[in-house]
Formats: sequence, structure tokens, C-alpha cells
Amino acid sequence: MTGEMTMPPSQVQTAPARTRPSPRTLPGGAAGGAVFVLVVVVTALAGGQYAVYTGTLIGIYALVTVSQEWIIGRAGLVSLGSAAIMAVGAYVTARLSTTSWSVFPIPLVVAMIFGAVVGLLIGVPGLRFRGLYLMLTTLALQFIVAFAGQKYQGVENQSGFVVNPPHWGSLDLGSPRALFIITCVVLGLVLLALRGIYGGAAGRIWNAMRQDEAAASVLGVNLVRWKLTAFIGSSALTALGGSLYAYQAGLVSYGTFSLDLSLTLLVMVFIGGLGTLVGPILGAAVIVLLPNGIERLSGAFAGIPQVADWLSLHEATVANGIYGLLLLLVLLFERDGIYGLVRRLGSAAAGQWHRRVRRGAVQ
Amino acid sequence: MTDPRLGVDGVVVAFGGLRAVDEVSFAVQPGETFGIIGPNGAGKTTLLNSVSGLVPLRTGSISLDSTAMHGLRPHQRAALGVGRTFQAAEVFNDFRVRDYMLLGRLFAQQTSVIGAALRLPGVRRAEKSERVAVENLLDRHGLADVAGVVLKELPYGLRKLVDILRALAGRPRVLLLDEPTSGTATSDRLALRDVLLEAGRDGMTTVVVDHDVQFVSELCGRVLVVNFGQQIGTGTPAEVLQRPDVRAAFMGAD
Repeated sequence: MTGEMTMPPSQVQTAPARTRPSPRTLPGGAAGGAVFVLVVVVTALAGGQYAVYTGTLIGIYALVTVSQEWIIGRAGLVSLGSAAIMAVGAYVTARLSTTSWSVFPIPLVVAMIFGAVVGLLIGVPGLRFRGLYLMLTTLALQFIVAFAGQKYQGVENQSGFVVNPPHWGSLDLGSPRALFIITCVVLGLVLLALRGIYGGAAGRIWNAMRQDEAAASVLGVNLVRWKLTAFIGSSALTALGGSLYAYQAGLVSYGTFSLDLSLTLLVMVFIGGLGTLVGPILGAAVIVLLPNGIERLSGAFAGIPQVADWLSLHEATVANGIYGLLLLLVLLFERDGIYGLVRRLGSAAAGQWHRRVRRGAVQ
Repeated sequence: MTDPRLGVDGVVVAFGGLRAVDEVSFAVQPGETFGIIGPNGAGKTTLLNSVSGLVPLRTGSISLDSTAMHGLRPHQRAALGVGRTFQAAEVFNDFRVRDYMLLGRLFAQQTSVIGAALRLPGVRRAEKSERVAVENLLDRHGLADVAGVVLKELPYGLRKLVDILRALAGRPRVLLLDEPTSGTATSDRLALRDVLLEAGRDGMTTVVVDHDVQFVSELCGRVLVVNFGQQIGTGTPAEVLQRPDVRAAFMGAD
């Protein structure tokens, strides 16, 4: 999956190289969009089975991390309930997929509506609580959904609800390649919408709220309205991600949407970098690709069977260890995440280049 | 007698047993620049916070053009026309100058999230015209070349100036300035004074809280002196500053 990873460098070239770039600006949209479309088209046309599958997974997680970044990076609130909200979208999709409402994109839209309602429910405690307490209320959502999901599935659907593939009348959209395209189109539209939102008054309002709530309210920001908007919008999009996840997995069960997944998604957001749209996508890509990287690593150690065996046996543990390490490194050294690091390296390189050009001009 | 632009009547703000503002009353007429002075800890900022709605009143009332405001939340007061600057310029560190200025014009802006998400032409046009207005405003004050600079990278005095311009950009009915000169150099104060004098000539109603008595005296026709939360006098700067009790309050403080 080299295609997805070509995105950051070209974004860097569009970033202003004169000063150290601030993380809270929108990267060059046209160039980023062009790269996105190129990567998607190439993968869809020429990508192998693995590339298409991994690309879909990255797209789904990117959608969810971008949505979570709305709450964490823009509004400055904490949420641990992302997996629970994904579960809501996934359940809705699974149930609708076996009814006459299964025509694409009806399940996706309905999942978003349910997600919005759940967002409103967690947004209300969010009005009263901040920080740790808000985290605990969203954590409670996680347990509620796990419990409700278990009860809902009952004994007859113990292993989960089967999801019928999306379709358009008689046209089946369930092939891996079709799912990849659907995922990327949805992600692209969401990114466009979020760019529109963050680039205008709403983006400035959340930015002010994140920096100082009381001061923002004095500037005229209705805290209730804008907190709820962030929770509702972000949750609707997270449920949309859950809906796509259901189609990709083909089976929906509460066990998938554990606290573990919520934490992983949170790590993705932080590792990728807050305050940008590219950051969370990078975070999602890194986390999806990491287990595969470890697999390759164990392949590289084929000569030393003890190491190779241990690595392949403990792949998940090693991956978790690396997530944790990455998170620590990000929190300690590079608050703007991987994307911030990439931009900084890029602007340093550009600075070198400019200096060299200037020196050449002087001589 | 017409209603004052800002009426503060018998306001008491208490934190537990401490009465930070104790029975303070004053009225600011439209177009007036009104000063509030007093030693550190006298309750000046708390008084402004009570007008903004950041602290609840124990008793008393606050009105804007005869509309009672003391039951409203901060953003509602802002919508009615209460503008405000911050004592600490670092409150909003992460904004670029132009984005912070745009935030000052919140009421003139399209805030439809759906409209922005769908990139409706109306929303984009409105955003564009707002941006043009802000660039013009920055240009007029010689700040065009820092429009893209993040606030925390600006010199402190310039940040205070940007904060005032941000508040003025919202065309408030009353502008509350919380310690505009704190942390600034003399040259900055002259620039701030000129901007405020110009705003006064344009008819802006302003309440200035500051510990720099000279700065306040130059700007304001009338000042209120507070100490230990209580008002100890109102009058022209010259009158007030001659009073022995006022002089005593400032002894050792400035």
C-alpha cells in the first residue's frame, strides 16, 4: 500500500516555506485533493486485492479519526466513545441491509441520523462536564453500547448480524473494489465538507472555544450550541464510518466495538496530529499498516527462527507496544503529530533549498 | 434625562464572604469614554466581568440602553452589543491576526454549519466579503503585513492593539477595555491612545479599566475610583485625583 503514503510529501510542497508552518492552517486543498483522487483512482484500477482491502480499511478509519478530531482537535473536548458510535452506525446498517431499505445509500444516511442522535445524548453531559469527567461519561457510553449490543444480538445472533452487501437495485456494490470506491468517495465528500466548515466562521468559533471557553462566550460564542454541534456532527460522521465498516466486515457484533478500538482510534488522532485534516488520515494509515509492517519484519528475521516466530506470535502485542511508544513520542516531542513532523522536515528542507538558491544568486 | 448606554446600579459581586464588588453604581452616556481606576485588587476587572456576564451578581442590576442584562449569559450580552478586550493578551494565542479579527465580526457572519459543509455560494460569498473587510481594516491601521502572523509571535503591545481592533470591528454599543496598557511600552500606549481617541470621535461608548492613571485621564471625561470593591468617588480626572481619600488609596500602589 504505497499509494496512500505518497500523500504527505506533496502536501508539504504546498505549505508556505518562509516561516515555521503553524499546525492550525488548512493545507493546500487543491493539491491535496488531486493527490487523494490520484491515489484512489490508481488503487481502484491497478491495485491488487491486498491494496484495495487495506485501502478500504484505511479509508474507513480515516473517516472515523477525522470525525473524532472534530471534537478533540477543533472543539477541544475529550471523547472515548468513538467505537460505541461506530457500533450504532454498524448495527443500523446491518439491520437495514436485510430490508427493503437496503438500497444504497439509504443505510448510510440512516446510520448518520442515528449517530447524530447519540451525539446529542453524549453532548448533553458534555455541556456540564469537561476534561476527565466528560471522558468518563463517554466511557459510560462504551459500556452501555456493549451491554445493549449483547442483549440485542441475543442467543440466535450470538456471533453477530450478517450484513448484506450494498446494492443499487439489481446492481451489486458489494465487491471489494466497489466498497473501496464507495469508501473513498464518502471520505472525499466528508473531507470537502469539513474543509468548508473549518475554513469559515464555525472553524474560528471552535478554535476560540478550544483556547478559552469563557473568553469565547464573551466574544459572542453560544457554548451550548457549538458544543452540541460538534458532538452531533462528529458522531454522525463516526456512525457513517461504522456503516462502511459493517459493509466491509459483513458481520456486526458488539465485540468489535470495544474500548480497545476507541483507544486505538484516539491514538490514531493524536499520532496523526491535531488541527489538520491530513493528520488523522496519516494516523489511520500508520495504525492500519503497522501490523503488516511487523509481519514483514518477522519475515526479515526468517534466518533467526526464534525471533521470527516470537514476532509473528506476538504481533498484536508488539503493535500495541509501538502504538504506545508512538503516542508517548508524539506527546513528548511533536505535539503536531506525524503530519506536523512531516511539515517541519519539509519546511526545513525547503529552507535549505532556498538558502542554497540565495547563495548561488549572491556568488 | 435619557437612559444611559450602560447603567450599573448597586452591583454586588461576592466570592464566598469576600465582596469583590460592593454596591457600585455608575452610568455611561452614549459616546462617552468612562474610566475606572483603582489600586491592584480593587475589583476593577471583576466589575467588568460582571458586565460581561462572567460572574453572577449577588444584588444589583446592569442595563444596556434600558434593557436589563444581568440575567443574560455572556454570548447574549455580546449579541446585544457588549464588546470586550482581555487583560491577558495571551487568552487567544493560536489565532492568526486576520482570523482573530474575523472573530470580532462574529455577528456579521454566516455561521450555518450545513451551509458551510455544502459550500453554498451564499456562505462562501459572505466569508469572502468578511475577509476583504478585515484586510481593509488591518491595512488602515498599518497591520497588513502581520495579517498572517500567529498572535503569540507578535510583540505584546501589538497584540493588545489587535485585541482592541478586534473588539472595535464588532461595532459594539459599549466597549469594555480591561487593562489595555498592562505589559505595554510607552510607544505602544501612544498608539493605543490614538486608536481609542479616534473611536471616541466616531461615537464609540467605552469603559476603560486601567492602573495607568495618566492614560485614563487623557482618554476619559469622567472616572470612577474603586478601592476594596467600593466606589470612593466619581468625577473628572482632575477633580477626583485631587481628593485626599483617592490619593491615599493610590499611595504605594502606583
